[in-house]
Amino acid sequence: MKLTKHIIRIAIILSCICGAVSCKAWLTVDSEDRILEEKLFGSTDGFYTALNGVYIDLVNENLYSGSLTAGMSDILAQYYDTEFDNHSYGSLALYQAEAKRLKADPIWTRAYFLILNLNKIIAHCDAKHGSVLDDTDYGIIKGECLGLRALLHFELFRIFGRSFTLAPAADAIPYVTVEDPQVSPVLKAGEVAEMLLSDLEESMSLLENTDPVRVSGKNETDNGGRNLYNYRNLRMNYFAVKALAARVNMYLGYEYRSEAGKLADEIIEEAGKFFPFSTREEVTGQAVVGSATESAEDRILSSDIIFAVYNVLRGQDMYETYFSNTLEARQLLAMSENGYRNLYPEESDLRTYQWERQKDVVGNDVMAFVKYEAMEVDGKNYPYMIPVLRMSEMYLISAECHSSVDPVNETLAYERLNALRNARQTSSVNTNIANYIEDEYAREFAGEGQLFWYYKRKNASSIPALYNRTRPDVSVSQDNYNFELPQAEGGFRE
Amino acid sequence: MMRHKVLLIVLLLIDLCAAAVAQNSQGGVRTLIGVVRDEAGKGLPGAVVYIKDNPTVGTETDKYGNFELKKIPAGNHTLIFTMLGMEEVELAYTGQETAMVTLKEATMSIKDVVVTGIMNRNKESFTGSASTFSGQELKIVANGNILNSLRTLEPSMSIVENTLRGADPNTMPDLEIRGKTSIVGELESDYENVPNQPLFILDGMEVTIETIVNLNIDRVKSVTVLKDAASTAIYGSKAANGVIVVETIPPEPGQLRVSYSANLGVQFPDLSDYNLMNAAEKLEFERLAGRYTADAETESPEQDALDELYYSRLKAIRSGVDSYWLSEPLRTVFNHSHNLYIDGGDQNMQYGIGVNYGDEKGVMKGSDRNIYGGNIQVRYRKGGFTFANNFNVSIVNANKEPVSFDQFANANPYYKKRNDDGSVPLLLESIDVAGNTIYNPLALFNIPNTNRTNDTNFSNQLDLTWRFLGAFSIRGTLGISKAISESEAFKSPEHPDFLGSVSDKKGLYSESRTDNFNYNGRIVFSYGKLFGSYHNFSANASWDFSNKDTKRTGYDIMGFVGDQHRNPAFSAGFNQGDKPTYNISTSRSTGFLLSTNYSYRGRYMLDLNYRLDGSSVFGAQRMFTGTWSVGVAWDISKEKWFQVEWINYFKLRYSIGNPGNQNFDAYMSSGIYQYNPDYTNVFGESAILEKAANRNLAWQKTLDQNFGLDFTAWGDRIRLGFDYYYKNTDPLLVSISLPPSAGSTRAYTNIGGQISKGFAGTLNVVAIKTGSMRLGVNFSFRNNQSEYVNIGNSLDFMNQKGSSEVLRRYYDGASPDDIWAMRSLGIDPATGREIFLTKDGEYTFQYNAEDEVKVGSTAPDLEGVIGLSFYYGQFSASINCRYEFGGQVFASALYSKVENLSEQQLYYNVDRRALYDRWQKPGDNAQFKAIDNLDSTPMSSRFVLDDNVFTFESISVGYDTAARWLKKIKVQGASIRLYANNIWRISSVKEERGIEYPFSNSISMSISLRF
Repeated sequence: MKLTKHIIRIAIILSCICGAVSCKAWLTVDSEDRILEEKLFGSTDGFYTALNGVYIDLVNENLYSGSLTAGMSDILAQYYDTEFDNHSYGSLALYQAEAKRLKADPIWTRAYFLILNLNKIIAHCDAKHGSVLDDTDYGIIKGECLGLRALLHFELFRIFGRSFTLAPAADAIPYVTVEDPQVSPVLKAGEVAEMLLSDLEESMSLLENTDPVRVSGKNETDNGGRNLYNYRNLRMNYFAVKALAARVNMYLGYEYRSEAGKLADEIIEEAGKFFPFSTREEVTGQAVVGSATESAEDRILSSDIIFAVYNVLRGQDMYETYFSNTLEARQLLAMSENGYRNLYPEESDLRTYQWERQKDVVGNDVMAFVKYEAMEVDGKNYPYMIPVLRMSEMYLISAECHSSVDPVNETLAYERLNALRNARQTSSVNTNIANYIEDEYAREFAGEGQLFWYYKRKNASSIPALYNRTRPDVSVSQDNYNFELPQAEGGFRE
Repeated sequence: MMRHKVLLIVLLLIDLCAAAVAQNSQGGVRTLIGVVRDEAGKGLPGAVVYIKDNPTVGTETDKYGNFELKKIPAGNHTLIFTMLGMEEVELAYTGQETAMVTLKEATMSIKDVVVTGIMNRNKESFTGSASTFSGQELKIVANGNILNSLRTLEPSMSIVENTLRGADPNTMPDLEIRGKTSIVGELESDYENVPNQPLFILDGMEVTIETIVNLNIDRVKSVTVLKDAASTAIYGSKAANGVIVVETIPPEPGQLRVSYSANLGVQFPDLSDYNLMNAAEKLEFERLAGRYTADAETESPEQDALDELYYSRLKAIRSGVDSYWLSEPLRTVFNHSHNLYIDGGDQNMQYGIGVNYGDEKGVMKGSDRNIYGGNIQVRYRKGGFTFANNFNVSIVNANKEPVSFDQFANANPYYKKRNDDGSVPLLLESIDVAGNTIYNPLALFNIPNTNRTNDTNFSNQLDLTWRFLGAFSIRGTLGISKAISESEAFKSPEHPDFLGSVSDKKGLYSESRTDNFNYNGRIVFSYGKLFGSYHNFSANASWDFSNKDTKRTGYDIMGFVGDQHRNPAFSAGFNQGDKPTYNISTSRSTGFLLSTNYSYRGRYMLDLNYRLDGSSVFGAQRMFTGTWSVGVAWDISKEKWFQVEWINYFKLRYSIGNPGNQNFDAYMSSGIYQYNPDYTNVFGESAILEKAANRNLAWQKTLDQNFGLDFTAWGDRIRLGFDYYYKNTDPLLVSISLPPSAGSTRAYTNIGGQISKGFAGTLNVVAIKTGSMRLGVNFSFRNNQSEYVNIGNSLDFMNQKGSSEVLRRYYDGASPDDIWAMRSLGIDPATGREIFLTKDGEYTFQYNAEDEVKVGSTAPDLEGVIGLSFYYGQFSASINCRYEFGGQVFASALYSKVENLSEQQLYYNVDRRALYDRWQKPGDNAQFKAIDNLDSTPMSSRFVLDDNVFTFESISVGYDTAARWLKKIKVQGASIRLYANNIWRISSVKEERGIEYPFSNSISMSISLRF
C-alpha cells in the first residue's frame, strides 16, 4: 500500500512535469492578423516584414499620399486654384492657422508613430546583430531605418521648425531615438540638424558596403519572392540617403551648401547611370507598348526617381481624392489654363503630360492634374509610385551650389541646370540662373511637395500664384511659414 | 506499521475466536474486532475507530474494512467510528467482542459546505472567506435573475448602478466583489473581460455572465461567493476579482417527481427622478435665457422672426399644447417565466429533465428578451464509480429599442406630438436660424430601426469519479460548449440619418455572427484521511485545460428602397471598398493546482494552495504565472478552556495570498504587430505596431490579506460573519497619456502603489422564536477605502491636464474615490456669477487649477442591507432595504441639464431647476448661475452632493402548503410568494437616472408546485 502511494505520487509529479513541457507548445497560439514583437523579430524575414510595415505606411493620407505632397505642401505653394466659393482648401491656401493645424497635426502624429516603429526595429537590429541578422541584412535594415528616421524628422523639421537660417537656436521638434513610448524633449533647431546629419551619416556608412544599389542600380525585376534586394528605388537606398543628406544640407543654409553640392555631385557621378532621365518614348508609353498610349504614360517620369513610396491604391488615395474632375468643384484641386501656360512655356516639356485640359462638374475649363491617375501597365511600377527623392533635385542642388558658393563655377552650374532642362525636352539657358532654378523646382516637383519648402528655405516673402498668373503674387510672412506644435504636445514638459 | 497490520490480519484469520476469548479473559484490557462497511455492504478501508473519552485508544480499518481495537480499558465506553466523507457513528461499548458498523455517506447541508467548484470543502475546516446561499434563500429575496438576489444577501458584492442603461433587460449587470481592482488613468477598452468582473462557475464550468443571468432561479441549488485569496487561489489569475460558484439542483433518487414553478410579474417604469419642464416653463426659460433675443439691435428683421416664433409658441401653449413625451416609448409590462422539472431514479441511477421559458419585456417598447432552455441530467453510480452527465441548451432572443430614451426626455413639451389628423410629423422644427433640425422622437420610433440578437448555446459536461482505497479519489470532468450569437440590424432608408444620401446608400442592414466553440477539462486527484483521531489531512492536485475558439464574421450592406424588403438580397450591395469582417481567434489556458488542508482536532486549520497558470494570452515571455495562498483558522469554541455555554461557534480566520489579474495582464508586457491587409507592395508581408509595450513593465502584484470571524451564539439565534481585508498593490500599473511625439498616445508604466482596505459583514439575529413563529433581523454592511502610496510627484502632469475636467488626482494619500474641484461659495446675488474660494480662503470669480482641493469622496462611509424576516407556520415574509450614506457624488445631470447648457441645448427640454433655481436678477439668492449665461461652467464643489440613499430593494410574502385539497389534484406541495422589488427609493440627490433607458419597479409572484 505504501508502494502504491509512492507510485501515485510519482505519477502525479511526472505527469505535471510532462504536462508543463507540452503545454508550452499547446499554449502557443498564432493569430491570423497579429504577431507578437518578440516572435516577429526572431527571424530576418520578420525584420523585413516590420520594415515593410513602415514603407507601406508612408503612403498614409497624412504622409506621402496626401499632406506631405499634394494635400498640404502643394496647396501652400499655390499650385491649385482654390478661389471657388467655400473651397475646402481655401483657408489652407490663405495660410489660416486653424486650417494649417488641421492638416499638420495628423502629419506629426503619424510620422512619430512611424518613427517609433523604426526605433523598435533599430533596437532589435542591435540586439540581434550576429544572432538573427547577418552583417548584410543588419547593414541594410538598420541603414534604411536610420535613413527613414531622418527623412520623417526632416519633414517635420521643415514644417514645425522655424526657417532654419533665420532661427537656428529656436525650439524645433523632438528628435526621438528611444524605442519605448516616452516623452522626448523638444530640441533646438541646431540640435535637430546635428541629429539629422548624424543619422544620415550612420545610415550611409551602414549602406555603403551592403546596399546592392551601388552595384546593380534599382534592379526592377521581380524575383517571384519578397524581392528583398530588388526594386531599390522603392526603398531608402544608399543614394536616397545621400540625396536626402544633400537636401538637408541645402535646407540648413549657406554654411552647409558646399557639403550639399559635394554630395549632389557625387550622386550624379556615381548614380547617374542607374537613374537616367526618362526619354520621351518612356513618358508616352511607347517604350512599353510600342506606340504612344495614354493609358501607359509614365507621367511621373519615373526613371530618375531615387526613392518613391509605393501605393497600390494611388488612384483612389490621390487622384480620386484631390484631382479627379468628378469631384465637387469646392473639393477639386486644379490649375487654370493661364497658370499652366506660364508654368510650362515650352510645349515640348515632358512634364506637360502631368496635366490635361478638362471640364469640372460645373462645366468650367480647368487644367486637371493627372499625374497620379490610376492606370495599369504590365510589369511597371510607375502607376503606383509617389516620388520622394529624385535625381533632378541633385542637378538643381548642384547648379545652385556651384552658382553661389565659393569657388563659384558658373559653367558647371549652367551645365547641371541645362542637363535637366534638356532631359525634360526644354531649351538651354545661360542667364539668370537663380530664377531658372526656382522655375525648375516649380515644374519638376508638382504633386511632390517640395516647392513650398524651397520657398521657406529661401525665406521668400512673396511667391507667384502659380495656378493663375493673372493674380498678383501671394505675400507670405514668417507666420505663414511657421506651424504651431500640436496642442496635444502641451503640458508634458516643464 | 503497515506490515504489522498485515500480520495482524493473518493472525486474526487463523485464530480469531481463540485470541478474542483469551484477551477478554484478561479482564481489565479487552479487544473488539469487527468490520466497518458502507451502505452497499462493502468494507471501508481507512476508517478510524476510537474511544470517545480516551482517543489514544484507537485504530483504523484495513483494506477490507476489518479492525481490531485492543487494550480497551475497563468500563463502558462510547466508540466513535469516523471517516472522511462519511457520517460519524457512535456505538455503546459494553464489553461485546464483535461489532458491525455501517457508515452512511455524509449528506452535508448547504450551510456546512463550501462549494468551490473544483472540490467541496467542509466549512468548519475552511480558512478562506466564502459565503453560501441556497436557492430558497435567493428566492425569498427576488424571483428574477440570481445576481439581483445575491446582491441583497452578500454584502461584499455590489452591482454598479447603470445610470445610463437603467433597467434594460439586455444590458448585463456590472458586478464588483470587494470594490474595484485598481488601475490608474484611463483604461483602454480593449479587454475582452470587464476588468472588475468576477469569475463565474456553473456546475464546475467557467461560464459567462449572460449564462448566469439567463439561468432560471428555480434550477439553482446553491450559490457560493469566494472572496479572499485563500478561497480564490484555486482559480489562479482568473479569480482576482472573486468567484461566484453556482450549482444547479441535481436529480434525486425516488419515484418520478414533477415540479413546476412559475414567476409572474408586472414591471413599470420609474420616472420619479425626472424633473422636466412643462411647455409654459420651457418657453419662459427659453425667453429668459435669451433664445428669442437677437444679437443685433432690437429693430431688425431677425428680431421680428424671433418674436413671431415666440408668440406662435405662446399661442400654442395657451391653446393647450403641453406634450408629455416621456410616457410615449414606455409601457407597463407583464413578464413571466416557467420551469418544469422531472426527476427520479433508484440508488444507482438518477435522471432529470427540465425545460424552462422566460419572457422578459423591457419597459421601453420594442425591447425584450426571450429565453428558452432545456436540460437533461443523468447520474449513474456503481461501487466506487460515479458517472454524471449534464446537457444544457438555451436560446435567447433579444430586441433593442429603436430610439434612445433621452431623445424623448430632450423633446420640448411645446411641440405637438401628432398633427391634428392624427399623423406623426417627422420634424418638430425644420431647419431654423441656427441650422438646427429637430426630429420627432415618436416618428423616429415608428421608423423601422431594429436590432435583434439571437443566441444559441449548447453545452455538455461529463463527469467521472472513482473512489478507491478509501482515501483516494480521481475525478475527471470534460465540458464542451458551442455558442452561436447572431445579430441583425436594419435601419430604414427613411431614417433621417440617410437624408441627403444617394439612393444606393439609403438604408443599412448589418449582420454579425459570433461562433464560440469551447472545450475544457479537469482531472482532480484527491486524498483525504483522518490520521489517528486528531489529524485530518486532505490534498487535491488538479490539472485543467481549456480552449476557446472564436469566429466573428459580419458585413454591412446598404441601399434599400423601402421597409417592406429587409432581405439583404434586395439591397444595392456593399459600400464601395467595404470588406466583410472575419476574425478567428483561439485562446487557451491550462493550470496546475496543489491544494492541501490540515486540521488538528478541528481546532487549528491550515490551508495551502499553489496554482500555476498558463495562458496563451500572456505573450511569449510570460506564459506561466503562479499564485499562492496560505490560510489559517482557529476554532476557539472547540478549545476545552473556552467552554462558554451560550457561544456555539467562534472561529478566527486569516489568509494571505497574491491573486493575479488576467484581465489586465494580457499583452501588456509584449508589443503586438498587426499585419496590413489593405495595402500591398512588391516586398511581401508588412506589419506595423498595434501596441507598443514597455519591456520593463512589472506586473501589478497584489498582496491580499483577510481577517475573518465567524460567530454563533444562543443556539444559532445570533450569527455574525465579519471580514476585514487589506490589499496592497505594488507596483501599480498606470496608464498614462503621452504626447503624440512619443509615437503612442498611451502607455503603461509602473508608479507607486495602492492600498485598499475595507470590511464587510452580516449579522443575523433571531429576535423571537416560539413554536412555529420566528422573527429575524438581518443587517449587512461594508466599507471600502483606497489610497495611493509612493507616487510622489510623478503624475503631476496628469493632475494638471485633468484640472477642471476630471475629478481625480494622483498623489500620495489620495484615494481613487476622491473628488477634486475648486470650492464654490455659490452664486453671487449681485452678478449671478459663481464665487470660488481659493486655497488661501480668498474669494474669486476665477477658476484656477491651483486652488482645487478635495471636496468629497464617492466611497460611502457605510452601505449594506437591513432586513426583517418573519415565519409563522407555513407563512413567511421578508423585507430588505439597502442603505448607503456618507459618500458624495458629482451630480452630472445637474451639471449638464441645469447649468452648462449650451446654445444648442436650449433647443431641448431641460431640468425644471434651470428655470426656478437659476439667478435672474440682482438680489436673487440662487443656487445656479445666471439664466442667460451660456458659458461652460467649471466642475466646482457646487455640484458635489452628499449621496445618501435608502431603497426598498425587496419585499416578499410567501405561503407554503401541503393541504389536503391539493392532494386531490395530485399536488404534493405548493408554495406561493409575492414580491415587490425596488418599489421605493429615497435619495438625497435629486437627479435623473436612466438616461438612455429608464429604471423600473416591479411587483411579481412566484408559484411552485410539486407533483
